[in-house]
Amino acid sequence: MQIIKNRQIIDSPWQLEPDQLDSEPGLDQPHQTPSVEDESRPRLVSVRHWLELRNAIKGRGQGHGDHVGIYLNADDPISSIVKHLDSIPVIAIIFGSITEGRGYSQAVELRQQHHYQGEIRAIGATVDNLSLMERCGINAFQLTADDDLEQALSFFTEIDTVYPYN
Amino acid sequence: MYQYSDQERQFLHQRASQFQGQVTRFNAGALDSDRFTQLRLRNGLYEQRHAHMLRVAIPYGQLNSAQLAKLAHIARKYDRGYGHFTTRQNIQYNWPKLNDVPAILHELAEVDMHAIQTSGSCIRNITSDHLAGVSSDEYEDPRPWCELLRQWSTLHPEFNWLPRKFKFAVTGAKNDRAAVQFHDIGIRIVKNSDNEVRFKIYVGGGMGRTPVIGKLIHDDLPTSELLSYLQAIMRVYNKYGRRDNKYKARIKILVNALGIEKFSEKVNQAWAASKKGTPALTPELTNRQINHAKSFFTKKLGGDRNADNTLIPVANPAFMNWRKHNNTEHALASYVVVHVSLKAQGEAPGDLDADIMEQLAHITRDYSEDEIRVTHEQNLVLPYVKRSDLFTVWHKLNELKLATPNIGKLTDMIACPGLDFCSLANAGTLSLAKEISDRMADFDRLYQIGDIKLKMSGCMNACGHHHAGHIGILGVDKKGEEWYQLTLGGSAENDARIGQRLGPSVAKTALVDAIENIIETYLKQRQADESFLETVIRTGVSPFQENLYANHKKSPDYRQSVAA
Ligand code: HEM
Ligand code: SF4
Repeated sequence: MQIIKNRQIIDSPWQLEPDQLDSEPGLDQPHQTPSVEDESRPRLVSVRHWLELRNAIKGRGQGHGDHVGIYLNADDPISSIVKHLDSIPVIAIIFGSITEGRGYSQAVELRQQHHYQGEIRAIGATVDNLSLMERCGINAFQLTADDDLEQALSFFTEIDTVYPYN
Repeated sequence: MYQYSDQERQFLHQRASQFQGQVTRFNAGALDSDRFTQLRLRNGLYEQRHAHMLRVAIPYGQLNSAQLAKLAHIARKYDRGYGHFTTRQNIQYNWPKLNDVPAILHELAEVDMHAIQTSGSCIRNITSDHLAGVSSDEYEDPRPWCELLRQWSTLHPEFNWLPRKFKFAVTGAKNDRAAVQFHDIGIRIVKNSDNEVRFKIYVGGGMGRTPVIGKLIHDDLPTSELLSYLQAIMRVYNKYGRRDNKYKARIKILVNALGIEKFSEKVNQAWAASKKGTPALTPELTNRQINHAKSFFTKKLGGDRNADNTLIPVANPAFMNWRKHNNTEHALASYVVVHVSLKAQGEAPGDLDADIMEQLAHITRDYSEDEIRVTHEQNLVLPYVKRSDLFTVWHKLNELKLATPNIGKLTDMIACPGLDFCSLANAGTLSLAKEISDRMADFDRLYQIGDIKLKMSGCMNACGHHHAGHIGILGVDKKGEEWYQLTLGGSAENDARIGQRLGPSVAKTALVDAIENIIETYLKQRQADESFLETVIRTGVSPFQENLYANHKKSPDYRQSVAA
């Protein structure tokens, strides 16, 4: 799948594997339960599944778990993952609609308060919000189906001045 | 007055161009209407009963003559020759065409104005005391602080998609003229015992269908912490405010659901957590930033400040009457604050004709140090009129029908646009306002009644602040007919109070009689020189109820209203 990362179009292997407990609007693929054995496929799982997988692969040594990222629903607190941030390669934030605002605070908390260094990906980003999202620390964007990837890049620079206080 | 830098001006033009792009995509079918709705709302553009409505921000109510002239020009060129000043220090145009709006925004940018965040679920225009910087009861001029808040909240990346709209008001005076306790966040600037500026922060106030008086959440906030603390409140609201039901989405509902202690605890946690972050996102205001903001508001007064600015005595009773009712003393002895009444008999409260606006811009330039203010009571204020110019200014205002000597009186009422323009309305407000002002046109009687605030909304959204009216009028819909619910005893000042319901609603045809009846009861009940509000507080609403409904029993409208 093509996404934007660091203002460039790239191919991303990361697949969303929705938790059957979630009913977020953005998550309409079939439900799956993650398997410990399948480590070849980079995937984004729920916080609950990520913590389960982590326990299962604990002790297997370096590299294990590099293929498992997390997705956050809008109402997921980040408190249960802050201890593990160093071992999470990608954190995706689900934006169910253009009006969903909670993900911006999740991103700010991850980046500015907890100094998360990995990729923060907005799933359900719209071109019109790219710049706000980027300013909150989101650096990768999976756009909604209506938006054109090529054109999207120009939206980062529509407005290039911001006030220093925000 | 705040001066935009070239960079800020460029920002406004970019914002207008951005909107042009959105309109183009929408027209081409490349942007679906739900998304476009959200984007246009962030630029103050509504879709209303007859047409689009554009709301332009007047930050903390302050304008110069070029800006007012531009507003007049826009009214003439893109609208039907008038504008409507609102209770939130904005101006609304009721007839712009969608495809013209980007051009309007570019025109506004030329005079450092915009419509950014005047609607939508984001931080709205920051409102303030219309006497900021010129009143003698002030601890601290609120405008530099408002300007800092305006900059901070403009396109704030984290808080552009809140659960619901968010309104700030700031006052730095002993007497609150900004209704701070009826805002999502209200700020009172005070001085502590060491004469240092401190903030008292109120949270969770508001009107709408659930009127709530804001609760004190911090009573001694130091200046450097202002933005970091507000950011913590906003973050808690953004994360936990309800998004499932828009009638329960305002911060007041969250504060009430958690209780102020629990809410405050969450804010303190968020505040502490944010301080561990990188400095860029825990904005600490430095003295340099604060002083820079303040530097724009130290007025360089034109002419010779020591010149003899004594009032030329004039034996003109109409002038003297206006002087008594429409002037306020200024912090500087040689100046007077002149209130410009937008409530002439028969006019819709807050409406102003473009040609008159332009004339007023000239008066602003020539006689008020190039400054004019919009009040939350839908009037204007010339804050810097020299005593020696008063008579001339009165004369000029009078010619424009802007000198009606009714400030603070019954006919100086607030009314939202109501059924005439607003698609949410249950009932008309403008025709009633006219009827009331016609019936109450006798000035001797107005003065006999004294200070009173009548506030009218066309539905429970309460844009006309009826909850805070000494007399509040709320339009309700009864099987397709316009009826009105009356409340008494509200106040938006230091003693913030929510008005109490009088009884069954009243038919349109009976409403002005009902107001007369309430006034009669007051005049009968009042002791010494008690104001209307003081009387209502002392007696409670029952004498008013008894008299109103007893009297109305004879009228068919009353019987209907009880039956309904
Ligand atoms: C004509 C188009 C307008 C529309 C569609 C509109 C819509 C609304 C709605 C839906 C609310 C309730 C918000 C809530 O309770 O969450 C509201 C509140 C309010 N509006 Fe308006 N309004 C309009 C015009 C105005 C005007 C002309 C004014 C000023 C005269 C105004 C000032 C306010 C104020 C002060 C509030 C109460 C603030 C609060 O809810 O705490 N609005 N408006
Ligand atoms: S109070 Fe109701 S009728 Fe009046 S402007 Fe607001 S939404 Fe419209």
